[in-house]
Amino acid sequence: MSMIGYFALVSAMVISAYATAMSVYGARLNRKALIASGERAALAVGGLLILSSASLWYAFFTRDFSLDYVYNYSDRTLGWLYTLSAFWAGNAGSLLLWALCLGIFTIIIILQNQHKNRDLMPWVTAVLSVCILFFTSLMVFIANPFVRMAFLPEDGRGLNPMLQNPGMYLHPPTTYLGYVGFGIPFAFAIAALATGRLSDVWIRTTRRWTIFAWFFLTLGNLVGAWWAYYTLGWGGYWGWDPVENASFMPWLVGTAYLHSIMIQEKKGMLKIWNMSLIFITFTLTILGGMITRSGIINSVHTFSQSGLGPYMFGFFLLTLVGSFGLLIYRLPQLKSESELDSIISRESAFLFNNLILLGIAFAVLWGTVFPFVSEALVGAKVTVGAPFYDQVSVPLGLALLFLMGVCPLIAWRRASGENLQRNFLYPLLVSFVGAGILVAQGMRQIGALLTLILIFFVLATIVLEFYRGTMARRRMAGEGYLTAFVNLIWKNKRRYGGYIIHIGVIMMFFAAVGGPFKLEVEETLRPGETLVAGNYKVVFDRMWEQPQEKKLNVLAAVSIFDNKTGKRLGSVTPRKEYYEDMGGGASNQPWTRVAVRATFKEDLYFIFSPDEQGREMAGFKVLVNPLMRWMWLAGFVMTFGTIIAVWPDEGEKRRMAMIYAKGTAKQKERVPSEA
Amino acid sequence: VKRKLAVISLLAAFLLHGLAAPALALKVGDVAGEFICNCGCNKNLAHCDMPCGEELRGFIKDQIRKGLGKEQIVQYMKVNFSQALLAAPEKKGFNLTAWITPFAVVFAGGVLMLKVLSAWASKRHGGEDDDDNNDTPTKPSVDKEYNDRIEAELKEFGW
Repeated sequence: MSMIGYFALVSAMVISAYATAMSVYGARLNRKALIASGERAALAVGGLLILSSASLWYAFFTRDFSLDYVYNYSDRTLGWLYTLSAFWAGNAGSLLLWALCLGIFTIIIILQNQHKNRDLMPWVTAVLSVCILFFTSLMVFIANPFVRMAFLPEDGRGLNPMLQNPGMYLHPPTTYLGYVGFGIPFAFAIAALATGRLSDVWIRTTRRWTIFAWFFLTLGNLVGAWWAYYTLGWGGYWGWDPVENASFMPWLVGTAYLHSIMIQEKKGMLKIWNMSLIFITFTLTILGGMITRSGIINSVHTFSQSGLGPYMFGFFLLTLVGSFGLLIYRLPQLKSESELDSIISRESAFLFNNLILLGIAFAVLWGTVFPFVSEALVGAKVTVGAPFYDQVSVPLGLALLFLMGVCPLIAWRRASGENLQRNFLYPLLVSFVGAGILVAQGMRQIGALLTLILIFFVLATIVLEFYRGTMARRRMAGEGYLTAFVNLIWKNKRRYGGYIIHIGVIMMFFAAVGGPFKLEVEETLRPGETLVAGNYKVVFDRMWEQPQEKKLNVLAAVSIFDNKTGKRLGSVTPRKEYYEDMGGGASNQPWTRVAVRATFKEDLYFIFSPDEQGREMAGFKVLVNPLMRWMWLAGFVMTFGTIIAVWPDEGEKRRMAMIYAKGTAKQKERVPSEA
Repeated sequence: VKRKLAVISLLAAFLLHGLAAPALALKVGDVAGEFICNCGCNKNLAHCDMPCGEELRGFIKDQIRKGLGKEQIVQYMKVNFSQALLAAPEKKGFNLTAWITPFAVVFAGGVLMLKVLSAWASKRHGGEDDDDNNDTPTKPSVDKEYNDRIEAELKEFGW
């Protein structure tokens, strides 16, 4: 079966080259047969990648340790869910996952556009096929997941314990769906430039794909943060690790793109800007892949040095130079269809929002590369870690939060003084009243206070939007409050879905406000002894060992009491795991499994370190992390908002049908003259 | 409206007065967060759960107990351990570029954007003036009543 997988991979590589060539020639010569052949080849490539992936999964599930990859990332004791996710535990498998997503997306795109965007499709197929060609070539020549062992081992090395976490079957796939998803608007942008069809059709066609990609990248980052919080055992969720940064950068630029395309759709402006943003977003996803695989940067995420770095860098340069070269070639045709009415307008606010998002992305990139810059220019080795990113990104993040509140308040085209007064007054009032209450309650942390003022401000703008919309519907349609509210959202899914997503973002900022109030207590206790952390009294009840196959767990029973009232609040069981032999190149260190008692107010977070001999005492690091639950809840709110924003809309369907019909008519008009 | 603005101003004054309050007590994590661990694990010292991290954090704890402030402890550790352990570049010499560049880029981008937007907006208005002066406008004229109605509706919806 693994041989089938390998041959499918090689065939996918060869046929994707064919699909690229046929699509480009077909488009250049305007030969429908060649274009159709290119599309069929691309569909076949998708099928072959599914087959190749299925055969790797089959090898994992049948414990085929004759495959080096299966041997290195699984063993006979591994549960089925982790066996499923062991697929992407290593470098070669993660590349196959990337290619698989690309293959499936290519199939969907071709099937979706059988009767529309026919002029763009050959180029879209070609771009996606080039990407598949690149990834399949990497696997065939450098990181082959189907390499055979010289001998047949009895058992595998097992999956790295750090990867045995639910995050493993959520974080990599969601991140890859985001990365690959941005390839679709990128491919359409290239197609628009190649064909000279530079209207907003490519943007409208890929709007849902863009939101899809953005959503999954958001989810990928969020699940990654959740995984870090519960698995890495340091009590935080975002460490500004280079690989975290690598997926954060495309998210930031993708977010900018998601906002600025609204201006092109509404006013036909910012054509060059939008093209540039999607090009940067896509190339940053490739850069992310390079950072993870090149081995040039140390990170908890990186795969061992693989030799892929130069190739990934080459592809990064190719996409960057190729896409911007094409953009420069088409510059004269990318003129705005309308002009800016006033500098005080929603269009301007959106652009400043873009500036801040790009500024944060630049700061993150700059921090990631600065150690190399420093070493190259002055020969000094420096570390650029969390303190740098926190200090640089916090002011920019607050500016972004402010603009998130400002954008919906400023009118499109031109904001009058009356408009500004009418829309800003209540949100400002709410934010100052809220802040006043906080100060009266004893809040003195300036950063947190400023963030909260802005949170109140943005929240007030959103509530005001919902309120005014609901009241307008009530007046116009005579509907009840609830009906008017639901209809308001349902009839403007994109707009109000977006606002719900903003609420999710606000919740993330709210969770981050808790950071400065984090409390940490570290003590060594014997069973029966207690420690006090904030408002909690923690009693170390007992400690025991629990031998399991290939590992030994050492657990602690801990009771939690309210320190003031003495009321028992519950119990937790943090543990340490000692593995006999850990796979995936992990060192032989014990693994922390933290225990968390979570409420909306705060998390009580336990890291347990038993003494290595005697098991008579244990070290406890207890953290009180305020507001953490809001961070995870934000993910659900954003998911809900995204579902609303991408939900099929009849009005939009009609508009798109008219746009496509106009395009087809124009094409028909053109054909006789071209002939 | 004036009354509301006065309320906002009063609240702002109250906030500024309230903020002049004593700083929070120094925690181990506040200092440890400024360093990476010295065993080569590359983790932030505040997050390293290995013995090397625990030892260094213990050292910081002792210094806090002795009554040293954050800056003093950071200086002491820089001298007695290594500057390379700092989790972020120092704000002096060449390293200052690390801190300034992001803000400089955003500032320059902001200035450039303002200039472009201003030019864009004035071009638009200049164009309108030209049209007004032109006896034979190229754009189809819009019925004033219709235009007023659009404006009224836009106003109604808060645009």
